Amino acid sequence: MSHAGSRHENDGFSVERHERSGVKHLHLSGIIDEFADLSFLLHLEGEVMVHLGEVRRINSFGVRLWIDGVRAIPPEANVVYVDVAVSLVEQMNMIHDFFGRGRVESFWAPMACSSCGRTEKVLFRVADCKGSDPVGLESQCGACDAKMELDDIEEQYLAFLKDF
Amino acid sequence: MLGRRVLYYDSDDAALLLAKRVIVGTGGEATVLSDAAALDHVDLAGYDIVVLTLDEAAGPYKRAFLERSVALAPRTKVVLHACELDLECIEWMSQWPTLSHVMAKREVPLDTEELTVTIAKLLRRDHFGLDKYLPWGVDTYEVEVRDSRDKAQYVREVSNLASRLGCSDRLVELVETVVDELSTNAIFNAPRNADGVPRYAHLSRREAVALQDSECAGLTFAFDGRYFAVAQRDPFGALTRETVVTYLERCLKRTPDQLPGAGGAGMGLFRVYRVLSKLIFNIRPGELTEVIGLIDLRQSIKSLLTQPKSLHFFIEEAEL
Ligand SMILES: [Zn+2]
Repeated sequence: MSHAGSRHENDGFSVERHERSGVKHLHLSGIIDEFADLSFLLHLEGEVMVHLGEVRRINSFGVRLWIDGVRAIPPEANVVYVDVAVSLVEQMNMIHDFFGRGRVESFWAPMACSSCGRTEKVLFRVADCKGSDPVGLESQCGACDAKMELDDIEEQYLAFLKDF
Repeated sequence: MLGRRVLYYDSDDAALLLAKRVIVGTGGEATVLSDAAALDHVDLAGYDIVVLTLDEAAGPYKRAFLERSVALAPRTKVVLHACELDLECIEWMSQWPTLSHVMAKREVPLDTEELTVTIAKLLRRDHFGLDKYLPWGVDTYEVEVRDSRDKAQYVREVSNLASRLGCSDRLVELVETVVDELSTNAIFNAPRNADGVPRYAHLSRREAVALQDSECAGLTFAFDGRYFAVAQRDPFGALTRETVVTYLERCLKRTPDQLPGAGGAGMGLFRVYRVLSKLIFNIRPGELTEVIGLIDLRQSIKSLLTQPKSLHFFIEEAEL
């Protein structure tokens, strides 16, 4: 019997803010769980871009907090979500109003190489996925140049596209 | 050995030969059927276990056969051997409270290891332990789940092993989700007082809760060259088969946001369930719950998502 590992610090959750050309940018990172402070959502106004690529994961209680937070965003805020992390794409597909009135501009997708088996995340723009069904997400393998395909079930992973 | 008679149906003779060997190998007496039409009139009395392979030939006969089989509970345990899980099997489980076992037909003609464990557990009524799903020699790691303030540490200890095994970031994140949801459940939902009333379920999950010695849960995890295995045990036995089946059924019907307390543990369970190969619940009501999840690391996430899954509830009945 082994005793695994030693004590580690909590990954935490943080929000970094900056403003560029009149647009407020919020960079979220870490874990959205019961301890994540999402109160900033209540005070959004004007043009806002929320960057979600560094959100490592979200748990059940984080989902609950997130939905409550998104529903409380003031209607005068115009929110665009970018770089939506894989774990959040999964939630967006399960929960219809996960991003409320906001718009999703880009998202990460898990890709797998059909030749060497390598897996990597690739960023896609929602606008580029419109107009074809199935979408057939593709990318090029960073290791062997072969074609990479979505490492998920497309009709489930891209179900959210119907809402945007 | 409390019972030994096993009836096994499969239209594939190669599967039947293997199944017969497994049943005899576990100390049982095997009766095998390859003619689906015989499912209509075979005498089920006296069998301890009935295994029905849901192959094409069984199609017209399966429902009537299942109705007759599940009526023989608690003596007769019914095991479905399914090429694809999912909604139909879960709906049957929801409809028939004595139907508690679905074994996935991932391997052709069958997964002899899972059949061995399932038959042996049922015949011997010896249900608990992750070791039953791992070969000898595998190192198991153990963490005591005691304090809500240490949850991040519990999560990290398990995901460290997943990282060392070279799992993708996505799989590590899913393993972290499993442990996060299981340990939150063990700390806040499982503990009961002497009257069976939840002790901490009413508290905010932000509150610090330190379990008493008698309330602590145990988290065990291991890797055997194929499966990443996680088990959690709590000393309450409060989880019910109905709760789990209801959550899975609603999630498979894609209505998770209508779950009671939307975004609660049910959704976490479903995310995890999507990538698991096997999910096992061992329950001694009022005393002990053990949840075991196995993820086949040889597969891509896509094949984990599309493959059939095994789902078992081994429930110790007071009257037996
Ligand atoms: Zn490649």
